[in-house]
Amino acid sequence: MSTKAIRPTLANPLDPPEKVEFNIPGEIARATGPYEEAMREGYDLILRPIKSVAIDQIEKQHAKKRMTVWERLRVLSDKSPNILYQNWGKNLDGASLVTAVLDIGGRDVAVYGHDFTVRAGSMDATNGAKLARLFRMAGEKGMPLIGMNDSAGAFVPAGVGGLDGYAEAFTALRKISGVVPSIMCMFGFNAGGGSYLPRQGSFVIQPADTFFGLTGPGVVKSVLGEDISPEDLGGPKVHGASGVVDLTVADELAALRQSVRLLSYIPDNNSVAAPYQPTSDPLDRKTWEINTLLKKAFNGPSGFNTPFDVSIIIQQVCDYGDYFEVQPERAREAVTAFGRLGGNVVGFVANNSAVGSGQIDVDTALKIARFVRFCNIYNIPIIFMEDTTGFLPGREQEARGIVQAGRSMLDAIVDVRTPRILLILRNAFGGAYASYNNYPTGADLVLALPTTRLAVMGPAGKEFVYKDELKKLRAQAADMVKKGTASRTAAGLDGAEAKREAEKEAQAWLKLQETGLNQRYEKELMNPKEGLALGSISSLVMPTDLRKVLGENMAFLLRHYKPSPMSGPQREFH
Amino acid sequence: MAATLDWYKHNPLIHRDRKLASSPSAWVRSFECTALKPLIVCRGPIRKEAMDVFEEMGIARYGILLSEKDSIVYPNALAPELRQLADNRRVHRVPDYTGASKEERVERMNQIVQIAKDNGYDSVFAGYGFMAEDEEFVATIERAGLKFIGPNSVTQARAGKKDEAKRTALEVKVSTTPGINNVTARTLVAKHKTREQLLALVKAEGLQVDAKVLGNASLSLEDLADQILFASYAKGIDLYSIDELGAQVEREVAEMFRHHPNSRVRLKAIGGGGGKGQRILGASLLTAKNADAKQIAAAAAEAPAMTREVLSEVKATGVGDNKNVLIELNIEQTRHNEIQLLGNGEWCVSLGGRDCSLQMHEQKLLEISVTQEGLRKAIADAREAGKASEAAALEVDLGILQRMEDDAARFGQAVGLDSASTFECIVDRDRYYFMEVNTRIQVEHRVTELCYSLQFTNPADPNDSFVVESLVEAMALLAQHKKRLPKPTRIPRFAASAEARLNATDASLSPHAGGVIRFWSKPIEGEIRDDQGISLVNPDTGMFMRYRVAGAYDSNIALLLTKGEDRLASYQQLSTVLGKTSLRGINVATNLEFHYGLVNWFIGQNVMAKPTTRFVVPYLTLVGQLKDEANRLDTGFAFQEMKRHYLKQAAAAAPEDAALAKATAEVLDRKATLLTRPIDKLLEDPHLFAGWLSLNRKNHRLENGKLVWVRNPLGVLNDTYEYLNMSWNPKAPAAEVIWEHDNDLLQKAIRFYQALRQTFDLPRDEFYKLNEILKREAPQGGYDADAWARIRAAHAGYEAGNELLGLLFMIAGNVKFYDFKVEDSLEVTIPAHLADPDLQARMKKVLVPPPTTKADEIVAISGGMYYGQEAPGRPRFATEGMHFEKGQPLYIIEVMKMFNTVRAPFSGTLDKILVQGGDGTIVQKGQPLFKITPDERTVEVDPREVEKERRFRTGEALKAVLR
Repeated sequence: MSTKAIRPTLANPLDPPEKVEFNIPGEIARATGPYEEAMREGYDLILRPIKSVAIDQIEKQHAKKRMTVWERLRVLSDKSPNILYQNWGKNLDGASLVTAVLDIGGRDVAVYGHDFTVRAGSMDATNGAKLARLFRMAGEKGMPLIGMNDSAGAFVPAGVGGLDGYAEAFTALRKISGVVPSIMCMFGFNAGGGSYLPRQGSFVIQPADTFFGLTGPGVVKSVLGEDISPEDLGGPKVHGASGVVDLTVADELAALRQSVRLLSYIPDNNSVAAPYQPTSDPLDRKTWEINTLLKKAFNGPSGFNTPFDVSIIIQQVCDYGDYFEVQPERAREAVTAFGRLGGNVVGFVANNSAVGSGQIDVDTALKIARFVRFCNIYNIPIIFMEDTTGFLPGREQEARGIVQAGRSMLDAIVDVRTPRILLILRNAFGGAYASYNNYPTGADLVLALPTTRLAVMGPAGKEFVYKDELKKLRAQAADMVKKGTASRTAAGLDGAEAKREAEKEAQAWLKLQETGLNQRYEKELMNPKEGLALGSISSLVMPTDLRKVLGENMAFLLRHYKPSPMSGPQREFH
Repeated sequence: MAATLDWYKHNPLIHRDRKLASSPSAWVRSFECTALKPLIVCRGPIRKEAMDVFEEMGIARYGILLSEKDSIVYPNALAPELRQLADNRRVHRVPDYTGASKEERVERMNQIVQIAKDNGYDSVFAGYGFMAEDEEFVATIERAGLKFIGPNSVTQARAGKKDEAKRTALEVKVSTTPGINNVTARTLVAKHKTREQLLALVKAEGLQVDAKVLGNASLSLEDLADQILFASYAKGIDLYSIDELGAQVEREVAEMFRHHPNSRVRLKAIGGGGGKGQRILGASLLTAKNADAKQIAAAAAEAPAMTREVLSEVKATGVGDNKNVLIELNIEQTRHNEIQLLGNGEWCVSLGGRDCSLQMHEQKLLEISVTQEGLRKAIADAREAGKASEAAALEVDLGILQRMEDDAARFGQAVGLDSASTFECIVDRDRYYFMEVNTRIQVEHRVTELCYSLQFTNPADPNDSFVVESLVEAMALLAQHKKRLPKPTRIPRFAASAEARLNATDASLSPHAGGVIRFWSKPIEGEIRDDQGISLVNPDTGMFMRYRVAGAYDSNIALLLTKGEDRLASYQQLSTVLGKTSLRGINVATNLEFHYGLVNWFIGQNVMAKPTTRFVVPYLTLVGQLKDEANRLDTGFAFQEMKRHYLKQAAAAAPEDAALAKATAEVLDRKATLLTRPIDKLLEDPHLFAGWLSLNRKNHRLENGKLVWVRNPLGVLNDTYEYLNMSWNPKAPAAEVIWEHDNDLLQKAIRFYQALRQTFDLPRDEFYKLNEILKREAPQGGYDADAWARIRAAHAGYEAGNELLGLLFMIAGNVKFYDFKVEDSLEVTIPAHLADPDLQARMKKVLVPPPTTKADEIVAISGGMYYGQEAPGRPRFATEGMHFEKGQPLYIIEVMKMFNTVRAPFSGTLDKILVQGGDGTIVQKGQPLFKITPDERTVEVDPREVEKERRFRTGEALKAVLR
């Protein structure tokens, strides 16, 4: 630097001076007066929510690798948003919240996003009311909702006004819950009301390097003295596993893109069907791969007890193998997914033997219940695929309330009024079968693969079915021990040793007999025959015909289904 | 460029109407192939390519074969081609080929023939699949009366087996590497030492050997032994054991070591290829001075075990398998070149060369066209630029290429080549050695397609002709019309082409399994993307379909190709393509960044360079060193320090002027994201960093330990955004490009300097001069005093803080980045220390830190019954003392009669099996099953210490860059 101090600037003196003259586009220039002044002021006001923000606030947001709300809107759609109440708030800047109607793929979508560059996106009474108006409008017009949450919480200087703001928004959102579906993206660091509000929505998507929760780590530290990182307290790993979040993604961009994709599977509101998409994938396409998959699994070394990933079956059934899994990080003992079958959106609920033998535990039951309720409310038909050894027993599960969670799943299934099909893939035993969309719980159709093992109990059932035989066998074994010991002692063996050998022999014999009974049980009772005979199963389907049979039946059921809002009495539990 | 053009489905570089049936010429029409009904039995990019080419030729009745990995092994991995071929009747399935036994192979071959016959196919296309070079497979197809779209079985036998090919090469005077190609015959002669003994063997075993051969007393013992061996293979018996063979190989290897000091020897099973069935031995002799007999014996002692390994890799350990192994001198400093051949059994043409030297673990990465036309032009250009040594180096290459092309065509004709094949060579200075012939289409064939097309002309009418631009098309034509096709002339198409293999690998180029691609940007103009159809959107919804990269057979995901008017242009286009490619998803790792860095490394150095096959590993090591250094730099801290430095200067210059300090702070704050964002990106990805450093090699220099900018760092910053594919684009997601306010500032500044450069008439790379001028207080360049003051103020503002970019060069200096370079002679100088295996291993861990654990036990993931094997009689998963890799099955837990395989969460060594009792033992959740020692144990480091070190290093680096 030279000795004489130069005051640095970022203005380019060589650039032609910037023209700030105001013209109404298309107007012929004339002498100007107060009218032009009013126009100019109006124009400034229109731009204020976007332009009035101090640049260092935008930079702060960018330094955290986060986009501004305006930039996020551009990712959702290349159409420009129709901004609502743009100058609401006493600074005429929209009060740190943008609400809009946005054209996404030809559909009107209600969108809101906190503007973190203004007062850290915090909530006061003003923007609480603004949010509530958007929700109410979405409900009235039947538009789905996308929320981009990025808020520091209630605006403390606003005092109770901030709390009222949240309360008003909570209420409005609850009132449209079940009327229009909503997708909530969690950006930034949202605590308290900033967490409850989005979770009132249908789906929550959380990117990495974000946090949300009841309170931040600071409060946890001061209240409980516990040191915890935001990541471990309320990061996507935590919420993805608990089901608080439905989808976890790498970053904001992925969250927004996933929102658009998810939107393509869900309807605008509760009185219409999800978007139909004509398909060029033949409905009678043979599903040979399902055959190969099952053949490989069941002819393998562990036979009918081999786990396999059920999503491959969903994939084979769907148009062009395209499907969209919800809550893939949680309780994968069941797979819940949207897909299209012959162009119609279908919800799939499938037990997945590849994870934990496909058993239904508390998390699985709640995951299924939640997904089924959503489909039911929004007129989405469901295909259930059953392959479970049952509910997971044990102290831990009881302590966590498996009875309540399983009941929740059962009730959700009983309540379903949309077309619904059950396809039994393999195992369907006892209580799991009874609560999983069979005819008595209201299924429109129950189909089964020839590999079905529908029985009142799993392999342990032999204890009951062959009670007498087993009793006899065991008595025989005891007898064998006695006789064997005697004959061995007679042959000159030492008493203890004689007994040991005789026991060994008897045990081996008994094991062989029991294995025989096991096989007999599997052969006689673990098959679809009883189900077919009693009308519990309508018909068998070959694995290669699954797409055709499911597709045609679903089309038939949908021809006779009229999408409408749910009505009737409110049940006690959700 | 119209935005609506779909460069994926309608790319003029690879898609065209190939229907000869619509030609006005009767002669041309006679070559139409619409009647052909081929069954495509390969996977990968070539399957999609063949489907496209056949459709374009008007072949409507082709079918494809799916493997299990296309459909049922992983979800979201369904063959993407099914989005194009919705007619399920043309999609067929075979069980996966595990390569377990010869019987399985034969069974699979017969199944394929059966599928073809049952479904009315008349021909089989095997692409570059494992079966494509299998003489037996081709013979099976031919015997069944089907056409094989590829070289016939006789050619396969003569050119495909490495030993046979070498003999043929010697006959037609093609230079081959020193070595032994008949070690099996030698083994037999060692066992049966005389003619009489050999003849007695024939009698004893009842072998069918031509009486003329047996009666020919002048035949050498080894040749006689060879004939006897062929008869034994035909009969399916073994005349020697693998142990006997191993012993003979050991003797021969030792002999080679004695004859060729300081060399290694390569063993190649004759049925190998693609890196399989090869071993190199003698590493200890490479640097040994005057190795004595003991050292040689020690090195050769590895031979028997390696012989066994290579044979089992190519599944040639069965009774009656030909177990011949080539023993060759390993040529250390070599380039790998290959010549594309095409023939119809009568004629054979060479179609230029490809340089495939850039490879790792025998897997090719980057493939570059080499043509005589291209080399002549490069020589002329080098001469014109006064680069005499470069021109001389290229002359040598031209000479070699001419010889290789001539020899290759001669060889092709000699073996009766009637389709496409590749003649592979190694080039060592001014010599080349023939290695082998690949009797199939190769992955990199498009490199050649872009350089030459083929013109077939009516012998009766020179104006009656048609042009073929696709080798797959040529193969189909040859399969259908064979000898009727006249010898084509090759027509230069584009002057140069390049191919990058996009693989599922991590930053150290190790295979990376899994990952789901959720988004892949659309191809751009001038990009060929052979990606097996992954980019085919859902035909109904138009949405990208997620695809699981499973690494089913190999790690290849796609091939990316470009062309240009010379090699530099093809590299630059490849750089553009790679740079603009955005590939996103869940846990996806590819070598995209490696390629981008490497291509730009060459652009910054010299694209005509002659790298050897040993280039990549030291290069990766250097990149690892960059990362190691980058990890020790804290950009945020550097920015704050830089700001403090400026404020201190401001306070010193004008202690009473608070406004000055404020203005300085404000200016710097405005530039924080503008400056640190691209720096952080480069520090994060050392591959991008390496390419950037090479491109900016000449934009700076060091004087007395201080950095001097030859070019304006603002211009470099602007180019850096461009390099990172982050230039301003209002349509792109904001998070992926320069922030709008940063762009406004940057463009304003660039305009400022452009105006100044014009005023002072200075070129771009004389920024330091402009800087000097702007230091003068007196007005310059005709500006008045006021304007000059404002100009200087703007200069101070625009340049403030740009020094931070210089930190990147300091890292380069620390690792001696620029010592790895291309010389004027086009040879690549690799600093010797990068060959250190310890450093290489260490840097690999820097590039991809292995998963660490604190655990010394593996516990049951759930309660249930424990099993140590898949089924009774199967091998146990876990044995004490064994080493296990991440993902390896360790045990099975049975829960409610379902058998769940549990895999290792990390790699390590199993010290003790803790679980008591045999299979079916009941275990509790969390119960320790095994005592283990993990490979990578978590070392607790104090984050404060790390930060302290980073700050110290950052401070040191700052000293050199701050003014």
